[in-house]
Amino acid sequence: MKIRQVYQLPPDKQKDLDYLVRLEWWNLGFRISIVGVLALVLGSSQAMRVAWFEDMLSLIPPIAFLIAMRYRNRAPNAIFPYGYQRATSIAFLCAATALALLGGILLLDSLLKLAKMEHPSIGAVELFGTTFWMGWLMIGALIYSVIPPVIIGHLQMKAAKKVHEKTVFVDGKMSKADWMTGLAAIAGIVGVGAGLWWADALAGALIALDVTKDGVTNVKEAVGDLLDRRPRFTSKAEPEHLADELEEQLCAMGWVASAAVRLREEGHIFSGEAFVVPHSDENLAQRLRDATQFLNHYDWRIYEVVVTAWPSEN
Amino acid sequence: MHTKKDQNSFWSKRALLFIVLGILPALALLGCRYPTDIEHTMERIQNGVLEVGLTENSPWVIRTNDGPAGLEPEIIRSLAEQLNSKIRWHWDSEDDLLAALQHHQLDLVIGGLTNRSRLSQQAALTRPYYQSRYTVGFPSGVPLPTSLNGLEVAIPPVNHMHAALKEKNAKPVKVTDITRTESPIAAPTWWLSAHGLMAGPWEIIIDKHVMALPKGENAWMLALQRHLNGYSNIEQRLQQLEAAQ
Repeated sequence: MKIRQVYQLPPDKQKDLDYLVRLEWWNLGFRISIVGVLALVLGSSQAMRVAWFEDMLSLIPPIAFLIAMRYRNRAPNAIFPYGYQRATSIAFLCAATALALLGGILLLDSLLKLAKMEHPSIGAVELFGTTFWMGWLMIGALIYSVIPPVIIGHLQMKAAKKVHEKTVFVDGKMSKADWMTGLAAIAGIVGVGAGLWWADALAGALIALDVTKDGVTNVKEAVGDLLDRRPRFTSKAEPEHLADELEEQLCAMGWVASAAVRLREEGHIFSGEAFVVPHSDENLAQRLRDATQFLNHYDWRIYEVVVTAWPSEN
Repeated sequence: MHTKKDQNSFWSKRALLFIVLGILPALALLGCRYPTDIEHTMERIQNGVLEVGLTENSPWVIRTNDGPAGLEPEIIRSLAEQLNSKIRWHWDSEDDLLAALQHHQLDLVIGGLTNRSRLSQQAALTRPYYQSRYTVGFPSGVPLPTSLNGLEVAIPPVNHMHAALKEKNAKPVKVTDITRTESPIAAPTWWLSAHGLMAGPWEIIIDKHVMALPKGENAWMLALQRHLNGYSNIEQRLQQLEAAQ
């Protein structure tokens, strides 16, 4: 059996990846602290509860990424001849499914509370000898829960783009949008304080809707990856033009009459096949191997493109 | 993902931001009381009538010919005085009172309630204003044993200490009249000192005492909680009330 060689990142990209891994550890640390802080002030507010669940869910992507990082650099072997780099895609699908399902449950729960016209109670706390409304503490905790994700999310997106780490990119994008849910929760609590019973459950429903939407988008994305959809990066809807570029490169070789390339994403890297029609069969085996090697070193994201020769159509 | 979508979500974000920024000044105009009640309880109570439901549960709530007595009516009377409100007392079973509370027929239910989850489904509970520590008491002069291992401890026939005592390897013995036994007795600390017994260091169970309010009345809750947090010498008062029985 032909087992693939180990994929190696170029040194500068490896450095970028190490930075991204460190960033994800920081991200995880902050997220855990947010979950802890929110848990301390969790009252009977629905919006707060949903925001808390969302923050717990947001622990999954960094954990999944960090776990996947342990596995995906394993060398391909006789049992897994294609290697492990797709571990990230699987982790991504799991996280997305969890997000979509829990978002749906929270949405239903919030709507139920709206339908039952439940009056949310936000009590009082005693801190440093004074008794004040718990809502202020909740708003403070929510403001804390909003700031680190926005900053880290921004850094994540920048760093993830450099190393083509789609899962982290999507996570960063969601974190960046997180301030909106935090704000919605604050609005809910402020509304309850103003005597509007529906504000809290409505805010909860809006946040849950956002969680569900994120989940569904990510499930689509993850399923697309696992179905070998034409490579594209999450930042843009257009497919990558790498396949076209490779075709041009092949056609530029003197012995090639025409070439067609198809690529798929395997986690953060691309693999695929190139079909060339040679002018003649002269020295063909050697030429095919050279072309393969050339393609596999053409872009750092390319893991393995296999070049095969076809006879001309006529 | 799609640029068009991004544009949309960008605008919805903007809209949300404006809504929130709009709410805040509106609240400032709303005036002095924040948080406020959903069903305007506080406005009704102040200079008005406070509807209190109570169940007999000595020494928390004691039914006398001169009206309600005990710790909790005392606390509520002093609060009503501050708010310049009259109190209307309604004696009934806990079950009926909680149902009435849910329908906003009452503003408060008292009766030595403790914070059980069953209660919090029906009503908004205050934070515990007092914790009753149940321990084992001995006649003064008797040296305290080092542990409860194998110790016979008297408990009333109806109690919620049996399992907790067993867990501490004590031997709970049910006694019909707990005041007439020679054995060590399991009871709250205030009860033990009211009966001249010495409280041991153990903690068998803790009862967290709360009061029940209608859900969503956040200004009323805040006012009551402030009053409860400022109320001191509860243990001493419980002891006096128990000793007077």
